[in-house]
Amino acid sequence: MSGSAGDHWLVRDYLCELDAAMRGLPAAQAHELREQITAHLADALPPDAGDHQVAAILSRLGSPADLAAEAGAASGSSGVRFTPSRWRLVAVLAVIAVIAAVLGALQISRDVGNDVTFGRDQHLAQLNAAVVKLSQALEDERDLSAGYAADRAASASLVGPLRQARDTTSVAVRTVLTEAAGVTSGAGYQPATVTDLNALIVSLNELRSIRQNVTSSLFPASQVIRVYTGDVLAAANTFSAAVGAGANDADLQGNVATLAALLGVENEMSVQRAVLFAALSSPAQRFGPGDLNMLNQAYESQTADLADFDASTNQAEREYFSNTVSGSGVDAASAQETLAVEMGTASPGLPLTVHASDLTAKTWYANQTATIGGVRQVADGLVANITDRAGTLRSHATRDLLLTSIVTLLLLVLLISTAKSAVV
Amino acid sequence: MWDMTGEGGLTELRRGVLGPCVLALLELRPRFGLELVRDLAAADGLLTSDGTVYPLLNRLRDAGLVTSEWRDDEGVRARRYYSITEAGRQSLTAFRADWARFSATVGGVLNHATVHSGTGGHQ
Repeated sequence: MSGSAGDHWLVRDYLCELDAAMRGLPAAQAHELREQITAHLADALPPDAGDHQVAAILSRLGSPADLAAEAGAASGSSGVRFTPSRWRLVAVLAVIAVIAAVLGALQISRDVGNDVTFGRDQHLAQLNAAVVKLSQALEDERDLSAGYAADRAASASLVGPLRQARDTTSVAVRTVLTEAAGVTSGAGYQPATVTDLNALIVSLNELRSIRQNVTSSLFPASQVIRVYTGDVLAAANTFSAAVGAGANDADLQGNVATLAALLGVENEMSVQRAVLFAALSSPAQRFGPGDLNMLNQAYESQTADLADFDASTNQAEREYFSNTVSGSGVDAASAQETLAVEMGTASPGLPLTVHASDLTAKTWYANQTATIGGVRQVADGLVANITDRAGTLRSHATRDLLLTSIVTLLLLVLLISTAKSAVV
Repeated sequence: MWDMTGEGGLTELRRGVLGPCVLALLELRPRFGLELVRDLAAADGLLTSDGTVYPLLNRLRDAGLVTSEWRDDEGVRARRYYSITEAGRQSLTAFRADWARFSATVGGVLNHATVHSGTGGHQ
């Protein structure tokens, strides 16, 4: 019936234009208006309408652009138009997004800084643990070497233990060298720490020639002690004493200072072990020139280091120390040393054993080793505390970094999707 | 600015009153699209273009003042008929009262202003 009028080319053109004009409207709304206009034309146009009549009816309808604009204004849901409040919302969201991004980036960079800093602290704590192990191995190697050098002809029984001590030291050296990789000022480590570390590495290179002199030359025992102590152990202890200075945590710094004092105590005890062990191992069984002086100096330094230890720590740690560094071995070592000093002072020409048959190289070494063992137990506990603390700080810093990144990302995604839904 | 005597001013006025006029027509009986357009066009000067009635009807429908339904007319194809809702009747009643007051006020002000400017011209 009226289908022919609806197919008129002017009507088709008009509807095409209308479709194009309504592109910004929601589909349902556009569809409804098109259906209403189509029905209007079907009713208004007689089947045999001429061009003139069709044009007049279409002209009365108004232009497709006006119709679409009217429909868009009516619904307010046009994809292109914004009400002012919506613009304001988008603007506010954009500002919040920018602020969130900037604050997030700042916090992330701070967290990255913390993570890197505490990463360095953690690395240094592990390196220092390796250096402490190395110091202890060097002390044992030095003291046995001194005993060996005191009587090379008769010290066959020391060859085995000495070889074992050297092997332990070599393993400790390799661990230190491995941990030392990457500790450079370029990587952000304190210049002083890097200098101390490099000095230690250089001194470790001398270990080979020191060992050769112990085994195959006539290096006297006192010189063995001096060379090990001055050329190698001093560098290790200097590193351990100063490594805490750059730490970024008070707990960490405090524990490192306490450990440094304790390492001093241990080293001085070990020097005394070496001097008396060498004297008792020597054929004459008495102190050589300067030995008694070295022994007394080591004892005085030990007392000073012990005072430093007491001052740097709390009551609990002090009690732990006196409970751990105790027992029959400790008491016996103390008594033996007192006796030896008295004998050496009163009758320097006589063997130290002349009035005390139980003052032997073997028993002294065992007793003083027990004393040193107690100190090492306390030191190992501190090393573990330091490593744990550094690890905790690092993992907190890493966790903070991860958390900040995730929160910032979520916030931005949320803001962007909110802004998007406000725009569409 | 706003040309008070030209098409612009009247278009704004028409836009405001066309909705109540549609409601008033539908109050008498339901009508289909073309029917409504013709009755509105019969009142001189109310419609600028026939097409605008349809977006207006959709707007009134969205506001709950008008509903539509498909009906078969005596063997002719189905047509969408628009009818007024209860909310539409209330809205129309309210507008009638407002309009009466408003047109009286506007008429009063306009006439008074005319008299005033006339006397002003004499001085």
